[in-house]
Amino acid sequence: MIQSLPRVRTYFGLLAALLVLCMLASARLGAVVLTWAEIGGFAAEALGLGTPSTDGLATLHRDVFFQIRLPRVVLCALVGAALSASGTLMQALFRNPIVEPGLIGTSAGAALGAAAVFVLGSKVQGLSSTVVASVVLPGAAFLGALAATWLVYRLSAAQGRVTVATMLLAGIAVNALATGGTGCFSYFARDPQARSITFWSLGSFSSADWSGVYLVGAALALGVGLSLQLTKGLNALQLGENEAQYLGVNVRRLQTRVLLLNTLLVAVATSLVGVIGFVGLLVPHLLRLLGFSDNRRLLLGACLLGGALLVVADAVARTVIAPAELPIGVLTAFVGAPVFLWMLARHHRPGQRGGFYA
Amino acid sequence: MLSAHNVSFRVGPKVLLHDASIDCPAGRFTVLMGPNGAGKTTLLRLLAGLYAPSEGNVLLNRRPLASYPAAELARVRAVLSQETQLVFPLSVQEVVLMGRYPHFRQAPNAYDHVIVQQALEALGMHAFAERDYLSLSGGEAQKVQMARVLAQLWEPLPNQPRILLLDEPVSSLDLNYQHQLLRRAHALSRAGATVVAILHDLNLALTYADQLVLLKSGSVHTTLAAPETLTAGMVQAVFEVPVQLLSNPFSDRPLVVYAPHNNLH
Repeated sequence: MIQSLPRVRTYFGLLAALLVLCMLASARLGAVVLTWAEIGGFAAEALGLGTPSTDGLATLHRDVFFQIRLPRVVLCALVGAALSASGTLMQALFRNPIVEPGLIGTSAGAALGAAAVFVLGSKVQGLSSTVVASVVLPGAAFLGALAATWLVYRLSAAQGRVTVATMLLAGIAVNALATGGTGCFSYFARDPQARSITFWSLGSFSSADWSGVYLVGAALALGVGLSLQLTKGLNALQLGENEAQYLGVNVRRLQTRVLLLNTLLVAVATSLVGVIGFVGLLVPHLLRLLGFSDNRRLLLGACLLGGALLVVADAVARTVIAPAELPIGVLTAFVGAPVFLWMLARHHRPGQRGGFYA
Repeated sequence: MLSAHNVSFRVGPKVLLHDASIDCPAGRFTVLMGPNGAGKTTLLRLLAGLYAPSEGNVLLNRRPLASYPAAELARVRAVLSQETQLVFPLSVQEVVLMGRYPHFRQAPNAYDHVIVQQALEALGMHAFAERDYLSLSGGEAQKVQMARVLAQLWEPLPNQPRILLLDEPVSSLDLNYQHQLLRRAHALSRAGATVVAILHDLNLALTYADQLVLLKSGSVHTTLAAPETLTAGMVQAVFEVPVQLLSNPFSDRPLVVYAPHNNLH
């Protein structure tokens, strides 16, 4: 079932509304539950319409909203968008619906790069913690993610065709290698570093702040903005590498660009909030079930739906065992892994003609 | 005119094509034939510019093919492969619209959409425009792909050649679809395009070809500018199959029949 353009426009509107609704609802929840009226007041304030109340409790609530809740919710939406955009790009590049950053080594590679900075970064003299947090950490995560993704892609794309079995096996091997490296760092790390690696390898938004929002926001704008220029080529690639070349697409250049942009999206997000799996896998799949097929629409839809899904996941993660907080990576794995297994089972249903979606 | 001059193509130590020369004039339907592994697909991909020859060169209007930027070439040259499989759902018209990709930058204009509909109509597939490509039969899918390459070459660009290359385009098609597809390709050649097709059926080749090129073991064995001059000896030498040529009641070209050594029944 393929949707026509007006239906797709309606879906975009609905997805955008869903995202905003999820963000507002999530921003209400927590140790202090804010009322809708309060949030309305904050929104009016931010738009310069109302005057802030000077009441002590109101000031506290306003600080909770603007300094804790809002950056966290916005960061969730941005990270969800980045991971889902990455999943969309990777599925189009590998021509395979079961690809996501966690399966092909991108996340694990980023984790290894970041773990190296956690442990070794403190040994480098003369670097301020701000420089480490905003430049060195994302940079190392980027390099680790790029090396791992490139390795898996090269191993599985022999003679211009991606073999699924080889891709999954290469993904397992590269993931094992990167996870082993991360384990090695955490084993030799002194206690606080080890804790931060463990905590972070499960994914968490608890350290969200506005600087993180700006960093991921910039990476998302750059990554998705440039990726939108490549969607025509990615569509053509669905016909196969040779056919794409016959349509004038420089396939090698396209592959390099997509891998770089994907790595940027995943590495920056991962370096801030840790490893969060399955979002990038599920979101493009859900959109295809809704009838999205063009990669340009898929990419934009994935940003909206992925953002909404991760905001909801985070709201659940921080309220379900309150006052404690469940690592969000654990939650997405609990929900995502069974769905992934279901997809695999469908994929291998015997006698099925025409591939995964027929 | 698309031509290959003494081209060879090697992958490692393996020689896939050796010292092959071929001229494919505009307005003519050239058919490449030969046993499996004879180098037909390799030659076609060299003519398409997908591969660069190890030796020799491929010229399009006396200019090396490699000197054409990929995007420019895609506006004048289309290739239909034996089978094109998709992984993700895509509507038939979205697939055909890809044929227009070389002609627009970001978004297709109204004329591109008109061409998509006309190309689908040309193959009797307009009723399938909204269908999911993955739900099509092999034959229907191949006709959609043909509509896509027709859309790519829909209008002749001023002072530009048009080249249609077909790699075993009818292998998955029934008798009626085979002729439907080849008639479209033939019509394009009559409209001035260079058409080159790999076919396996000698009688189909004899029906449509203006020029017949027989390949064997990575070399051009025989080039027949007049296909009616084909002899049983040539077929036997290339395919190692005993044949007899009969007269065809519908044309002045021979009909090839398999002549078994002993009776099968």
